[in-house]
Amino acid sequence: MQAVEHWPAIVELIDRLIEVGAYPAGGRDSILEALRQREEQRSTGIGGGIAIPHAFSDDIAEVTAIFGRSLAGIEFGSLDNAPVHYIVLFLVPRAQYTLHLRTLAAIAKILNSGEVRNQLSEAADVAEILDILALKPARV
Amino acid sequence: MNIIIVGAGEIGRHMALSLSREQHAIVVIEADEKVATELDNKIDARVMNADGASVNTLLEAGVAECGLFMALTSNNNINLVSCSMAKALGAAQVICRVHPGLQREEFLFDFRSHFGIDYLFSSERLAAIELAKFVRNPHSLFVEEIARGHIELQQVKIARDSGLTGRPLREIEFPPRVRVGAILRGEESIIPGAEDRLEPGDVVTLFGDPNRLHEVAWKLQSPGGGREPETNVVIFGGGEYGFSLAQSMESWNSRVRIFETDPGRCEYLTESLANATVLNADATSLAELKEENVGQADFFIAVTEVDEDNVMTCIQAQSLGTKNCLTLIHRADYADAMTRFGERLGIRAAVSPREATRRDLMRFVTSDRFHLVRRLHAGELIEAAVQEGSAAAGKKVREVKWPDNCVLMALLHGIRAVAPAAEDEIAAGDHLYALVSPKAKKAFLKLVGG
Repeated sequence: MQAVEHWPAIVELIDRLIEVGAYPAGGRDSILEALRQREEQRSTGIGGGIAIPHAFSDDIAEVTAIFGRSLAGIEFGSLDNAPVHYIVLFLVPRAQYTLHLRTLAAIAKILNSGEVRNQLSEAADVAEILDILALKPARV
Repeated sequence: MNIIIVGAGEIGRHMALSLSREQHAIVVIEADEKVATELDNKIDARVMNADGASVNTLLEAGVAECGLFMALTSNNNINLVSCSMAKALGAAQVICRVHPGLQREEFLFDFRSHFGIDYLFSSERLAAIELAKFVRNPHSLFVEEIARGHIELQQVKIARDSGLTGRPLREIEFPPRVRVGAILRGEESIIPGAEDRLEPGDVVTLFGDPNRLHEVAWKLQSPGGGREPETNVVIFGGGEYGFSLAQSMESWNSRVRIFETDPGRCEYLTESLANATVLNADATSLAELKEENVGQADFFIAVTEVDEDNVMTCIQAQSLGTKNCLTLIHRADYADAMTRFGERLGIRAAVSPREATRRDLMRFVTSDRFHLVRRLHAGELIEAAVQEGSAAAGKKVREVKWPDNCVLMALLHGIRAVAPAAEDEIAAGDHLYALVSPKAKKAFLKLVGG
């Protein structure tokens, strides 16, 4: 990732989703506002260098997520005061609260593995990162 | 301030005794008769032997007029229920102690909103953060976290050949939002401007984002400003303290080894931690310490539940040559002794969960106008809430005429904080942290007050 600060990192990930056509450009402001509100409630940095920003959206029909890696680390106000290296930003269709919780728990379960985090930090490119995440299906 | 504390165990008792020495009306609610009686004989406060999760008890304790309610038992359920009721019954601020496991689930469920809690914390995690500060900044003279831990202050002594001396501060490329707050040169205290220069031997107070600050602190302290070597850390005890500590070290340039005797716990630690080597071994055995070359480590940190084991293994590690030994101390009596004699035993610091908790919670016990965070050579570091209608509310930092000898160190907006920059906006309800001289303090409080 290019961003070195918390909020710019989230904006960078949303812009990337829009750029690849995974999220409508017209919904940019409203989804950023929803993410901002969530971030202001409490940090989505869950420790171990992981952050999982998330929000509900009216503009998507299924769960949409994007993964970002910052080798330098970004200050996210995490539980353990440590910088964040892995960000999974995900958006859930509104009114799918249970799905939202299950998705959150599943992502945390994958990234809570020290082995997975080591592999992610060493991955050379996007394809390798996708391979690592695809090999770790987690159900909760 | 009217303060109610539920639970007179290790944490609650320490908090109550500490607050009772100040001008507060304190009520302590403790379910265990023996513990309640013992505290009642020792404290200038009202002690109730009752259930802290009972409505009647809370009403009788005066919850409706309570400025600060703290549930500090070691039981999550009691704390959550009593906090929730206290908020509903009119307590102004509600603080809840929980196990770190529950705190790790916070991203899944908004416990705070659901139970009406203003601040939720775990003592284990606070103690781990306190210990981690020593490891991250082994050469700093002191490290203090402000603004909920988002901004750090460090005092460092400038090395002769640090490469950053002799130039005006404006020419030094500090990372974004990292600044010099004060310089102590001999007996002289300076609040520097852009033209001031750093000199070898200066004691400099830096502030900013902890990660970026760390780089600058290293450059200023290290001769030649070379690359920081990897820190070799050994942790004894893989319980909650050890786990939290290892987790917070994960992102740093460090090699972490953990001694843990329980094989099941070892498995969990191995699965959960990315950069730690977990050893199923007992650090109370001298042979095991020698086998692992603990004497070569930069830090040995003992964080088991047994104080005696912690202290003795630190002494062993120190005798083997470990540069820095840190220990966790649970019992109040031992903590006092360690504060006085620890250094003689080669133990650099003894961190007690109860004291780490007290330091963290004291910011909620404030006068109406400000909270004194720390006294520094250049003045007082104070925290004040920006009032609605004050001169500073609704303005950008550069638009406010701050007094001389006033350095803004942190701006806390909601749960986020930054080292303030000229274009940052100040809103009513934000908290400002400033280093102020006695004269500047009055003017500063006037600007942020209503």
